[in-house]
Amino acid sequence: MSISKDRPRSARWDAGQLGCGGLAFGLRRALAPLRAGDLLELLAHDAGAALDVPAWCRITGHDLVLATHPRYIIQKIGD
Amino acid sequence: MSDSKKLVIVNSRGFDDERSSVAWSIANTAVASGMDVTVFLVAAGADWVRKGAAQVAQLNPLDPPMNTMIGNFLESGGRILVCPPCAKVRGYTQESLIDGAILAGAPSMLEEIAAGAASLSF
Repeated sequence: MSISKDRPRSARWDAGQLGCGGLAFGLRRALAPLRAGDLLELLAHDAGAALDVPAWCRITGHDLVLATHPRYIIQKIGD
Repeated sequence: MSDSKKLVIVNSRGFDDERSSVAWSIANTAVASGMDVTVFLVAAGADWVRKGAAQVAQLNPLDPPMNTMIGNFLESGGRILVCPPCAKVRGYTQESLIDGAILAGAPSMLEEIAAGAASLSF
């Protein structure tokens, strides 16, 4: 396996004002094309995101690397 | 995984529905029984925690006034989550809400269910 293959890729998703179920479903969709270990930078301006993004990560097991509302970085776990 | 002391109450009922009084009465009973209770307010249920809104409401004369039940719930350690889109569409921000009511949506509520909480819906 080459170094470049092992290096985590990153993606970015601006969720805008999406919150609650819309935010959760969008997160699932944003992470779907990524591989385990890849990073997703999320911008979520919904006031509930400060609690909801960490909660969603705890439920799904994805690693919340950074949470400084409205910016979050999530590392995808394996399927 | 299961935690029989955890309870989530989802309340979508507002000021025009006596079932709101039932929801808050059960929430009061649950915290008084030592349960770990989260009330998730959605749709018209979000109106209950707008500052000042519940001051004069009593939907069943045999239940305490709504403001008393909401206050008792919070003082007893109950947790109130308010669906962000439901609040926003009503023009409510975090500053519009009483102390102790927090804007947080389905993921925060579902974490309780995933941890084994029972759920009731109104």
